[in-house]
Amino acid sequence: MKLSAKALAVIIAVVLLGGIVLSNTLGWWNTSGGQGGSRGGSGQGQLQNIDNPAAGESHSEEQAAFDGSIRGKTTFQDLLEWGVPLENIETILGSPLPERSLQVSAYCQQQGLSFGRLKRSLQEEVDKIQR
Amino acid sequence: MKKIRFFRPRSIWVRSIVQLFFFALIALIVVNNTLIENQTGFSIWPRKASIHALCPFGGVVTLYQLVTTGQLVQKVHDSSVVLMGLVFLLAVLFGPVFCGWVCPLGTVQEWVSRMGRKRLRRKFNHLVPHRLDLVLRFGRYLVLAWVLYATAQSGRLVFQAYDPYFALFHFWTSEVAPTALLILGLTLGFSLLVERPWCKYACPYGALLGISNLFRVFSIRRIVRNCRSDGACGILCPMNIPVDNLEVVRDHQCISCLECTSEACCPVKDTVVFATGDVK
Repeated sequence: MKLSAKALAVIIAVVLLGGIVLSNTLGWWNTSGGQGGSRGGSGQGQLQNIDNPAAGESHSEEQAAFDGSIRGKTTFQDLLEWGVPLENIETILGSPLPERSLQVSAYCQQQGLSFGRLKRSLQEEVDKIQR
Repeated sequence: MKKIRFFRPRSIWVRSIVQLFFFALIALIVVNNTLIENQTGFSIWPRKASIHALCPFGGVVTLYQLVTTGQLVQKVHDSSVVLMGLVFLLAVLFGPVFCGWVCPLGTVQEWVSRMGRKRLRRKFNHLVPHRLDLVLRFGRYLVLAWVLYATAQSGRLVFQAYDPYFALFHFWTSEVAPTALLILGLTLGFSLLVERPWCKYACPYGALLGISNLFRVFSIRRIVRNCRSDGACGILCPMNIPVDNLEVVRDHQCISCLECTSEACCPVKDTVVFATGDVK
């Protein structure tokens, strides 16, 4: 049985895209969160559970999806629960800690700060803990 | 009588379209992900996804941890495991078509190589001494072994610091390690001299998928009775496989790009084909 390039192209597209649609329907297509961070599998996930054993159950999906990176929806509460000391956050901010449930990106918007710069500084603190 | 085609396509154009499609898709999703993280993104189907969620190799490196602890390696998501399964299915049937038709890093290398080919003409892709080339091509298995071992040991995605694929789609962020950027730069630089240098010498996922060439259902087959032995298939193979000396291509470096077939560079109809074993 011979296969032409066009037929192969169609098969590749159908298998990959169709597979994604099918797995999405079956609930297997999870692109954020997943076991790595949310279920305390390794690395920071373990750290989170040590610091606050009950944290994994009470958090929002985004909080539970921690994979070592500060994102747009990361809150100051997340940073504290990941183990970043309060004093270090305040030193980086240059002011007292705002409302803990406030997202870091929203804080930047309020204060007219660059999220990218603040994110880098806070990320360094998170990375120190991971090490 | 041999049917010689004087006006034939020089390459598999449909492959270029598929490559462009997947490159654009991945680029769009990654840029969208960055925008969402900065709260300026827009929602596209299926949903927000990082590059790690779209990499089937993530599924491979997490396998050890998944089997032994039931957990995934940090940063790897369930979608990577799904993609790994789909790519393995394709590999069993057709060989490493993911490398030749889908992988965006392979696509970019091919785009850069076009410039090198124009400048070097026939010397392009034939600059590395044959014996050295043969030895270097097994380097990617060492990379594969190291990545699997280091990831299993640490439970972290250690390859990210060296991964040119990650660097390609994150070069504008602070997440990329300088080593990954350096390797990406070297890869693109060498692409001006050699076709797909990363794939040939260093890609751990290509190494793994390449094994499927030994048992894939559909293979590149040369119908000897039709062949006029002009060597075009061997000369133009991007991976330098001597197709003109083989009846069935089982080489671990074949990427199933079909550029050697009678649909592209072979001038004789039905001589180099992609077929199952019953085609003689």
